[in-house]
Amino acid sequence: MTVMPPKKLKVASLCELCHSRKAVMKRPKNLMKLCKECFYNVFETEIHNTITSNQLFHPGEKVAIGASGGKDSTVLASILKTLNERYSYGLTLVLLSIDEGIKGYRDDSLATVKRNQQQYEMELEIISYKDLYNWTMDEVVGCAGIRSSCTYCGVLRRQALDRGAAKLGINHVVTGHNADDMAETVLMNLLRGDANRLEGSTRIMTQSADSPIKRSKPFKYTYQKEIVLYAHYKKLDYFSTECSYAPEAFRGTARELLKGLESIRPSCIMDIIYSGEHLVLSKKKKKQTVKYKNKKAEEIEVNPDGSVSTNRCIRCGYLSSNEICKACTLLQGLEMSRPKLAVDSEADGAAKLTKTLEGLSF
Amino acid sequence: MSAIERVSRTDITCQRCKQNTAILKARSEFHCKECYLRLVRGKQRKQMSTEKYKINYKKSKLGTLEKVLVAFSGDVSSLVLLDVLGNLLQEQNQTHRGLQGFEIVVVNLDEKELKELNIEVEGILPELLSRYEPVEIIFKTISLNSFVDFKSLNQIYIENDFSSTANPVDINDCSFLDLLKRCPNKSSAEDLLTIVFEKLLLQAAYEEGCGTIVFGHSMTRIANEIIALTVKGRGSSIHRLISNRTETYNGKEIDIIFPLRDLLFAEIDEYATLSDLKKYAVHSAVVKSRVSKNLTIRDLVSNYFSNLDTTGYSSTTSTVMKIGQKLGSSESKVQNTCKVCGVNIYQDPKNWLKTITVNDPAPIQTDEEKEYLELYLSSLQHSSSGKIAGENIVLCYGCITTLNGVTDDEFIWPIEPLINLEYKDVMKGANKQQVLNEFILTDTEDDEL
Repeated sequence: MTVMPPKKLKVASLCELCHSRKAVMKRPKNLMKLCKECFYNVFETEIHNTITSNQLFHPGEKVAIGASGGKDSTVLASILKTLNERYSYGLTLVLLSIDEGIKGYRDDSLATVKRNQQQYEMELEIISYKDLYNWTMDEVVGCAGIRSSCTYCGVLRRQALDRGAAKLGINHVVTGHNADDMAETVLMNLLRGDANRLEGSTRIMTQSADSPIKRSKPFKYTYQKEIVLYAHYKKLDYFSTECSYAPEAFRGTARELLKGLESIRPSCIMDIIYSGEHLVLSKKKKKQTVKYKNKKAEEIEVNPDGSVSTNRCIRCGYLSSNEICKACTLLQGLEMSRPKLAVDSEADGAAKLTKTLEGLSF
Repeated sequence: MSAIERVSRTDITCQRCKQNTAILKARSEFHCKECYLRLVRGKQRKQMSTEKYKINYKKSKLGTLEKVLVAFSGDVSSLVLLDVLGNLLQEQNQTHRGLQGFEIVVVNLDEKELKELNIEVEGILPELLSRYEPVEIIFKTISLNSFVDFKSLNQIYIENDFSSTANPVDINDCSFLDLLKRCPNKSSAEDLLTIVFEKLLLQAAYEEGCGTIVFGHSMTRIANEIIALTVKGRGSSIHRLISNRTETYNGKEIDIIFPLRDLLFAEIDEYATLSDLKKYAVHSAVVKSRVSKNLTIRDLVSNYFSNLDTTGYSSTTSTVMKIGQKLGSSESKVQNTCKVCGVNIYQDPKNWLKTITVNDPAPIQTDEEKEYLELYLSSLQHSSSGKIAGENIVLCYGCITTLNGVTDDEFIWPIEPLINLEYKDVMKGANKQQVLNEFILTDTEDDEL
């Protein structure tokens, strides 16, 4: 059987950057037709540019990657390993996972993280809510209901990441927040009138004087669609199910608006981030009234670096702007609702039940 | 719960005057017709409560009254604003024996061709202005071609590295509509049109000697602008474009006020219904598409806020407007000024974009790839049109992304043009025959189309 010679590519179907390979995709950021190799190159180089221009890392640093098994954190781990080797950042990378205790969801995603641990040859540390707080999310939902589950989980996870990093002796945590998340946050802060968060909503690295743990987002300027494409072409192993308890409320409306805008203006996500970086609150002019003149200024302790000391939680000792931190407040509310006796020690949560019901067929 | 609810029961009394029967519920209170109209008018008076708009006997004698330019497009918001101002002047006229605190100049930018309006704006004005007799109101219509300064026309091109190049173009005859049709998409045209409108109105205020420009923007429209500016990458301009502020134009200070900024569009629409203003409303004859791809950024954000109103989140509109008011100018130093829209630039958008958008190819490795590259280069030589090297110009981020996508067509735009206002002739006295003549002319234009 005679093998036909390979078909010649047309000039119009070539990659718009190298003009020498077949284009296999349309890039979401600027709708250019690219081949695989050029896409890898621009994707990785952009993240490298973001890291170097913002000076996220320094040589010898130990960095924890917040790994959930999803596409963002999986691609982040892969990219950081690649760039660390290619550009000699000199980093020690560690995977840090949080086990919220949602049966049918988190145990599957943690299995993915363990496979990533083998593939990328990184250490893996798993922190569970049960160990830290003596509550699993299944139990929290049982007490507080599904509607407010994201509030509890968000507060607990944020503290759990800090605690996990401190336990490993790491003071830098990177998360996989991408450009879509950033744009969504900017819009949400505008729509909710959250003035306090508005200025800092686009910062790539957040750090406070009292907390030794800093966080950064190397994917700040990376589109979510490009992360999906990169994971697809690199055949990365990731877990893609959404959280079982996550309700879509006000954030869903902002996301819908963002999708509509993106269809008519591909660069709108980057435009929103650029705008977010320029949103500045005007300084308030305080009126001087008679009763203020007699008021003594409260003495505030000033640290040597100029920052003002904030409170620490009297219960767990972590950073808090109040006497008791938010996590302890939420846990205290939960404790009062906890049943004194466990009716069934083998009871499954709502997540497992939902999955079982979905699997049923008549 | 919507912003306005009609009341059909007859046993509910107005909560303000306690006498008449309530016809609607707004802001958690029941209102009769008169009290609702008074509520809306009170919002405008609150915004224009400074001394310069009040009656001043000395100024009245000297003829140096403050002149107020009303940006009038014929839609519901500008109709309501004109009605509220007209009523205020009428009341001043009656109360103070023929005196008034300020004069009104109604300025309309001619959008009939652009938006395919259902009626000429000047066709409705004589009857509309007669509602406010004996107050004398001046009316002007400005052609959009006023913005086209042939000496400043340049072909603008965005390079691959996001630098902007401008080449002078020798064109002697083209209309504003021709320039706008060269835009990459509808949102770009809308963005540029907003810039043009602002400049034309400032020039008109300067020439007419007006110290104030008022817009009929509602709270909903202002919230819409805040989100739309954020989406266009113009976040640094939000504080400037939606605040009551003072602009300096050719050395003259001009106040810009949004008197209806505390009212939702639904509330303004209700005022128009109760005041019998709906018959004058001018709207586009083009039916808006329902497909997202055919809409502009402002349309999408408008639909978003409309959905919020129906689903009970109408307070989001006021929340967005309030946070927009809290914004200030950036603390960074002003580096440059955009050549197209005149906005201050605080951060070089070119470097910002180059960092996050890499346009370099991966290296060529195989012989087959080299063959394809040579094939591409040979085909390029046949169809290559030599790009004339032009002068580098400075654009802001919003203009770069608006004009990005200009690749094949030639985009031509005036750069810092000298604006020469072209006024259309408008009759001042209203009588029946002239109205009929006006409508006949309209019919003639329809035939030509």
